[in-house]
Amino acid sequence: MSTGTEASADAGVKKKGLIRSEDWLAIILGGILLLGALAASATQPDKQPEERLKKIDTASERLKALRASSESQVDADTQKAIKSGEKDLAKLKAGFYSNPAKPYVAKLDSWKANPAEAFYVKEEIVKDGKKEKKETLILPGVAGALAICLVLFVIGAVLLGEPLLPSVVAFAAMAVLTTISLILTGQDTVKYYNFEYPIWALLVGMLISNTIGTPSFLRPAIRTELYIKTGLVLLGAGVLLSRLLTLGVPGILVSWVVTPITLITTYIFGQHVLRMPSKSLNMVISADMSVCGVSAAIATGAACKAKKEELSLAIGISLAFTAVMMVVMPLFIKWVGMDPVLAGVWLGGTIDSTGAVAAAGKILGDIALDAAVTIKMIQNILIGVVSFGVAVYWVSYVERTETSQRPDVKEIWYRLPKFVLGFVGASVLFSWIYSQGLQGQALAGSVTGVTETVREYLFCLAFVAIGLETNFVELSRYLKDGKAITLYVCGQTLNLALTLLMAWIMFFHVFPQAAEALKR
Amino acid sequence: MSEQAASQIREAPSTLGATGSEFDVPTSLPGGWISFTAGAVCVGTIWLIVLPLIGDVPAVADHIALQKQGNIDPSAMFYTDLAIAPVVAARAERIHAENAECFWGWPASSPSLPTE
Repeated sequence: MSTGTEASADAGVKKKGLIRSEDWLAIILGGILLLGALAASATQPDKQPEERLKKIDTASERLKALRASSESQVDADTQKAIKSGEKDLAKLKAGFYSNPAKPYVAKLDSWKANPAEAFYVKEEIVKDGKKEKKETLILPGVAGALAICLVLFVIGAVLLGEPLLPSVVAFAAMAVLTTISLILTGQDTVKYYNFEYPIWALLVGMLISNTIGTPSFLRPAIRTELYIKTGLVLLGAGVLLSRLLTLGVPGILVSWVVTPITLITTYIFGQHVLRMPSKSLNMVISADMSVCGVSAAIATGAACKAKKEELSLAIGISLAFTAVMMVVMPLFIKWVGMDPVLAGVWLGGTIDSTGAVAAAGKILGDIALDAAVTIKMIQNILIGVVSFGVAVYWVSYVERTETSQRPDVKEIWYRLPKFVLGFVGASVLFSWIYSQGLQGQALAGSVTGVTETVREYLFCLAFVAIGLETNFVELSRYLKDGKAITLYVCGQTLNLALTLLMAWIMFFHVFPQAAEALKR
Repeated sequence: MSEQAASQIREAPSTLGATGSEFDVPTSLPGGWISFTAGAVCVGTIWLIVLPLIGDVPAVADHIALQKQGNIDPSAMFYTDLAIAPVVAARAERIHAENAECFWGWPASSPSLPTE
């Protein structure tokens, strides 16, 4: 569809050379942040690890005793004590390492009627036996996260040979627009119905670009690919491969067999039945619907070089349907009286967004919540395989068909979006760190605690940039034939049926003891 | 902007695989500032008046309260954005470790996971 322009883009990469390709730049910038955060965490280990291990043992023993007592007699106080004990244990385990940058990066909080509340973290603390509300100003944390993004952006601008002052001025303005987008996302009604920041960032950008026009001084900071690909490298650090084994064979079959089947079937359906005019739009919708919503759309969109309007559209459709499914599915499940494990697995395997899965699971209770979040977590890990697979498939087959040339391995390597290597590399490195026992888990957690926040700002910057480049008329053109929505609805219907069938077979016929264990 | 520069911008790619800072920037509409002001007022009205009112509808308020009480952020994009994820993961890993044969069908070769 965009062969000519993509070919000219490729030629541009060839001319610019390695360091000037934004894919390599994203790996460098993401790598600097990940390794920097890793080094910072490694220099701040717990001073008394033996003491911490003893405390962990004591807390674990206490939890075991509480669980044993709850098996004979289920009461609310014991359940509350178990939950509180689990939280304390998680905190103890995470305390082996702390990141010195952690206090200086923060996400905006939610608010109801006063947007200023977004700059305060609201916590409930127990003081002298009484519950109190505590508000902490997080403006320095927000500024700190944006400052890290600015440093990455400046390094990128220097490596790309861009003039520095205009770039910094443009970034400062983009940072303001990003903060406004995140404030809009934090409104309670918006946030708790899963309308994630990409659509509000697009709205802010499009409000400017489609009315007064994008000011020319903003142009040096409109670097969508750089923000997205750097964010994806950071996201790779959270793709921990050991999570794949969390629910054994039934978990793998529901998340890692049904999901690719749904993705491939939906893509084939889009190409051969609906005859989607754009293969990349087809792929992005198929991936966000079958894997994990917005994050999968971003990763596959970058892997198959989708148009920005296509990514925006796919995310918009996904978020709209997720908001509906998040409310309707629990109602349906309650109505039919579905088993909580089956319900949780079904929610986790079908609702696109991770947050919405948790929200829907919570409506059904703790057993469904745990099953739903765990299945979604396993499915989240698939994002690395899917984006790598899509990138290889695209350069090997889709671009080959368009150019009528069969690329050799060298050409495939040349065309492969290289940021995928950074994404997969970060996943492998942090999976290895995580596998090194409790201290490794704490070290990986202390790093991602910082980089995940920076990633959110980078993705939000990317969507503001997309909004600033998007013409509303151009975007609405994609909706006119209704094929994108039809594709999503058909694919999601297949996803709902296949996931339910596989979950029922796995958790009720092949591994019924697994369902029983999850209910304990 | 020169005609040549404008032409270059129109011809530049707008894919996520595109490189450099080329982009197709929408141009302003006639009466752009009026449209912008109207849009901004509309956004302000929805966020500051309409959405808080919707948030007070009992069903919506109950939903929000339930999610807040469970420390759940429905707008989390990835599992690492979810505050409850580490606790849920630890719980699942413990159940798996204590009942490996239930999840793999054979106890001897069940893969081990980090546990409490």
